[in-house]
Amino acid sequence: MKRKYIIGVLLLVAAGIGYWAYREYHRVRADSKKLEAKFRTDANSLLQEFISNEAAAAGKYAGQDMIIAVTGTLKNIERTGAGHFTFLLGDTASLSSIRCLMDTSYNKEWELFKKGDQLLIKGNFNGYKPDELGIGADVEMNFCVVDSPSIQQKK
Amino acid sequence: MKKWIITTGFFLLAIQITKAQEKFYTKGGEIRFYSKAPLETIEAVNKSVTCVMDTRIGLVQFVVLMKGFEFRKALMQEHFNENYVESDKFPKAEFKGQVTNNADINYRTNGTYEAKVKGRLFIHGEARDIETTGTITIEAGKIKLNSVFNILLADYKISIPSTVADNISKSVRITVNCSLSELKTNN
Repeated sequence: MKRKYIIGVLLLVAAGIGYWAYREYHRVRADSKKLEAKFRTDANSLLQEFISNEAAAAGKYAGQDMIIAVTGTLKNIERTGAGHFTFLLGDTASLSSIRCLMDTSYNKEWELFKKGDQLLIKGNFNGYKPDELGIGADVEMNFCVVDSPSIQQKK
Repeated sequence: MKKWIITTGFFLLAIQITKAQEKFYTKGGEIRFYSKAPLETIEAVNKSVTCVMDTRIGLVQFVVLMKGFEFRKALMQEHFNENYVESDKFPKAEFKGQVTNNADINYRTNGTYEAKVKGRLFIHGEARDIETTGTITIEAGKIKLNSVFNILLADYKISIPSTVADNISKSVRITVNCSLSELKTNN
């Protein structure tokens, strides 16, 4: 009786581990709208952090799934043939920007925005490219979303 | 005197026009990588590739952030960044090279040209010489760069744990697609 009970428990545990492993293996990235930002800043301050001390800023924003929220002026919208939106935040007079590759799941929402809008964008921090090529420095983010109040105003 | 000023003006304008047409760039290029092994196919795309090209001498440079590669499976992306390419330690990959047959390409005439490229590829803190071919397409004032080549993970000291060694291919196919616009100095 005791032996049967132990085997039953072991089978249950094995099934649980198998189910967890399957789900973990097929897990997709969490929706950025549901993730909490670890840091909140504005476009110019974020760029300045990297320009003044790249190593310190890189250390601050290191790690997997580093979600940050950045406020700023939408200085440009780039759209590729494949339908990807990239929102550029920052000073219109500068070549440097916060480049936000927008989450394609919400493409309909991104069509509502235009240059000059003040936005709060949340997304995954990818890194910093210093201005080594004479085309401006950039902080890059992907899986970006615009915060809910900005979307509500547009709707 | 007046004639001299006009001539100088035209000369300076001509220099500016020539200069403006020499440098092309994008910050939204695409690089894909693909590897196939019996148990696992790994595919990822980076849609924020920076590329600058000086058409006068055929210099070409790419910069890509490793964390910008997007995978379908979150676990794969985590393993890629943490265990394989160590993105926090080595955040960028770069290629600096030259179109060796640059003289054969007419950047002022629309068309697709075969290109030979030679340069150095920096990944994971390691540099290797790369020689590959591709196409350069000139169309409506833009330059499209396309190339496909293979790299070996071992060349860049990207180690694969023995437990998953059979699941991951030792070579990776890289596909580059970039559409470059003219770099205007008043941008």
